[in-house]
Amino acid sequence: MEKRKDAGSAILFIVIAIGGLWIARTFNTMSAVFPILVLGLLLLFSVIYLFVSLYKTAENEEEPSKIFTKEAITTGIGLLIYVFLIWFAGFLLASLIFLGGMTWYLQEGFVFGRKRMMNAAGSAIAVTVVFFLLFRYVFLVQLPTGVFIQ
Amino acid sequence: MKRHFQFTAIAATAILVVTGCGTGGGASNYPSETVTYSIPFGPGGQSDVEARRQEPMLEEKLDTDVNITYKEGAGGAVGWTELVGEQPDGHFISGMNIPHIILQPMTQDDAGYETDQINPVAIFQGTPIGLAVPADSDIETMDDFIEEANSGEQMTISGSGTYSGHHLAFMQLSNIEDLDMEYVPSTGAAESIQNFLGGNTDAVFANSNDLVTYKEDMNILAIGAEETFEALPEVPTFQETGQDFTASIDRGVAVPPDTDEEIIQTLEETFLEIANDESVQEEMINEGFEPLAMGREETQEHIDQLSEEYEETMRELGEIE
Amino acid sequence: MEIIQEVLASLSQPFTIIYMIFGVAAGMVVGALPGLTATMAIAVMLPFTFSMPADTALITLGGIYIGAIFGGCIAAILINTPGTPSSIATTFDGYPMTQQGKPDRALITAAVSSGIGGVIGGLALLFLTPLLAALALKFGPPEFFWIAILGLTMVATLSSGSLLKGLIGGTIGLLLSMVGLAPIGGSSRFTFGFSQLQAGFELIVMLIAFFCIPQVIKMIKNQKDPTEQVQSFQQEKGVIGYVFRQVIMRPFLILRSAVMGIIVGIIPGAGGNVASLLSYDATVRLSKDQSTFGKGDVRGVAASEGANNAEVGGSLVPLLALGIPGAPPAAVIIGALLMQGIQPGPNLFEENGVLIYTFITAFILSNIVMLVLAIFGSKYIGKVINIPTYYLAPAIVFLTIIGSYAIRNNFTDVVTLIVFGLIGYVLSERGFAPAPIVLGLILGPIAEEGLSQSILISDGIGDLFVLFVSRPITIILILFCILSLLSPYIGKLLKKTKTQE
Repeated sequence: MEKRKDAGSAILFIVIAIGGLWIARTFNTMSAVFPILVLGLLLLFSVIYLFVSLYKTAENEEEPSKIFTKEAITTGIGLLIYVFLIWFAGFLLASLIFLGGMTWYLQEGFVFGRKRMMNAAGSAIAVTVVFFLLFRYVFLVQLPTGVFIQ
Repeated sequence: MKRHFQFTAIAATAILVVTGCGTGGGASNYPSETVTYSIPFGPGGQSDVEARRQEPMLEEKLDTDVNITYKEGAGGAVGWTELVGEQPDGHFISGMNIPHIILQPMTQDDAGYETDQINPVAIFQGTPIGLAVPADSDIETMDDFIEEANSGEQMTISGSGTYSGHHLAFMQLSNIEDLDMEYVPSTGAAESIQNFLGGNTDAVFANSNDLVTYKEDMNILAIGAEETFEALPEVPTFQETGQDFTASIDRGVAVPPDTDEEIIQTLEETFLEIANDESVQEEMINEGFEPLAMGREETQEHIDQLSEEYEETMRELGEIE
Repeated sequence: MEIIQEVLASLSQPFTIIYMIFGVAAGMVVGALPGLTATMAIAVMLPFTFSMPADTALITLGGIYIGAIFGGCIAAILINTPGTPSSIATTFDGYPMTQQGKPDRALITAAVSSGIGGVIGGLALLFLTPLLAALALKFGPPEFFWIAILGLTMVATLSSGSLLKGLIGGTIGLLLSMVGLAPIGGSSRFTFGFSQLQAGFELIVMLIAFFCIPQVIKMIKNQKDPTEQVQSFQQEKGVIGYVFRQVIMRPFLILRSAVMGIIVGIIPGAGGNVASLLSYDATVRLSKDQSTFGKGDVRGVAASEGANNAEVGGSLVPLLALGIPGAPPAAVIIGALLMQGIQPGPNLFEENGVLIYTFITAFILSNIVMLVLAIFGSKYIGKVINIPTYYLAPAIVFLTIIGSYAIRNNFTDVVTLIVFGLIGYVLSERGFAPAPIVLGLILGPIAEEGLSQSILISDGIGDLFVLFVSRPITIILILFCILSLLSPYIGKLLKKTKTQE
């Protein structure tokens, strides 16, 4: 299994290297020197990696930890939703929703019932408001307001 | 449970109201809120210093807060791309640099904006570009330089940026005199001076303020100003040494396209008033800049004229099709 | 003599000292937040200094600079995320110490070595500036290229496990550093028609993406796994004494780190990140017992932090002597000088001698202030790791998002952060460590500019070769590169001969 995955990543990198070289041919000379050098190296290393992974003996493999566990996928999706919400509803609202939602979700198995909700809301409001005020009024950063509110 | 949700919602709304997310009114009561003055470069750069100089006077004359923000990247293109997409209500203004706003759309398909989308208000500062060689060089005049460049040994000239003011000055000089030289760009003015002072290139194209700072380490052959440059009166212009071109980085301010004429007028008057202020002009000269005060129309003509000139040079050199 | 008196008079004003302490403290806070850098801290505080007299303004900004570079280590140690790029190398041994429940040990090590490194950097600034400035000018394009290559040989040290994966990671990093307008040549590369990508990826955003986001996901994933828990922090008795003994017993380590920091600092374009990584690398390679590095070795933290704070002094050398900033934060300080009506340039020392000497003296004092603040603070800061994951993880994500937006006021950076954060998670789980990737990102632009300019300066391939081997500094750098590549084999060889005996 691990062997197949390594070979898979190797092939992915080979594809990236060849694709990059294909794009780099349109650059003017000085812009192309470095990319071609680096992509050439990437191609070389990935080909070696492919061979090494194919001929690797199975015994010295460690038990790989699972990459896509339920928690990891939920967090990943949560992050993507957060970014979308910032674009759509602005930084402040999105952060309140994300912090509240994430804290609520992560307390599963640790905190229960009414307290779980209180913690989520409390931490979301406290963190967001403090840092929002700090950035907006002390650091003078104009945080995005979102297309929805505009 | 529901109560907590309500509380969250109320808190959120309250913050939204307090921080003022509404948009401003029309032209009659301009400015009705904080004016954001965007600098398409990093903090501490020359554009920033100029904006900081103007900030207190702008606040006083416009009677509102002015908030300077930085939007750096791609030699200013990121900032100007944002500018052309902003609300045209005069509450978002941006620093504008010539020739950058002309050259970027000319040389890149995906610059993100077009030159005619930049809606100029005024130009208030010029930085003529000069050509210099090391102080101990045998080259003493522009004629010596051209002779040397024609002697067969390839000369290298340091400068800041590709398709930038320095690069263009290089292209114009080599085009007019038909010279074969090598332009060695750095990512910033400081780096290019460092390259030159370290003896890595034969000559340097440098901004007037750097020429003033390092005048003891270099021999300045000519400068791209239109007439004798006040901070360096002994240096001839390129036109005086027989090369018919000017080279300068001009700083001004612009607003998004379709901004109300009345608002632009208010801004134009304010910026020109500051530009004509004697103490501001004196400070600029001391730092090695050329105080300018070009209004909206004059600025637009200047941009149009330069666009034409640059396009011709670039076409002749085969840099664009 | 007169100058000394004036300097002392200017320094003994109570307000100056208060501003200095304020600057250092504010810098530490900003530096500790992931995504907020020293450059930004100085830029943010810049407007506040306009109304101050020139000496107070400079002292405040210098304090912020020092504080922020140190502050970067706090996040590096506690949550495995460098708060500023300068503290990347601090994560390698700092975070493992946290995992063992000893964050205070790491923090105090960082404070002590930063303080000593910073003072050495300040002394170099005070006494060696003309000399070092001359050295700074010796660094031209070929030297830049080779210092970048020397940096890239660190992949061998940084890739835990497979060297091949480290090399691929490094080239991926180099590749990512090329996105956007080519610095030389001007083509827009790998932007796929998106004008947002023209400016390229922001290093700090990529840094958080590859270090922090995967770390947060791992933290959440392992929340319920008791074997993966970070030990809770309990204050150790006598930890300050222990650390002082550890650090002072190894004077060469700190001295070497500081010297490397100063030299890298004076080279414009290479900042504290390169300094601390090179210093860490050298310390690992020169140590007899390398087995404890990466597992919470005090030496690793000391090497990284000693170098990055000494680098601050170094980066101010070209600024004060030549008017050329040695690092991005120094560029902002130039702006501050200009706004005070002072032209930085070759005549600065002659024209504003008192001011500059006041600044340098205050700079050395600020390092001591930083050391004291950090030692007292470490007791409290360390408690951050006792916060349960369900509060900490979402809050870290929030901070990284706000920070990555604030760097360039650009929403694209937020999208980049999350997209590459998720890619970084998969890569790190597949054995591609973040450090080599980020190394490529940092060194890519330096290597490219150096190589391209060298090509332009030289006439043809033969001439390029001559250019590379005819300059004393390039020869030294090339030798270091070869040594660095061969050092693992030399080490093995030595061991073999020893066992045979």
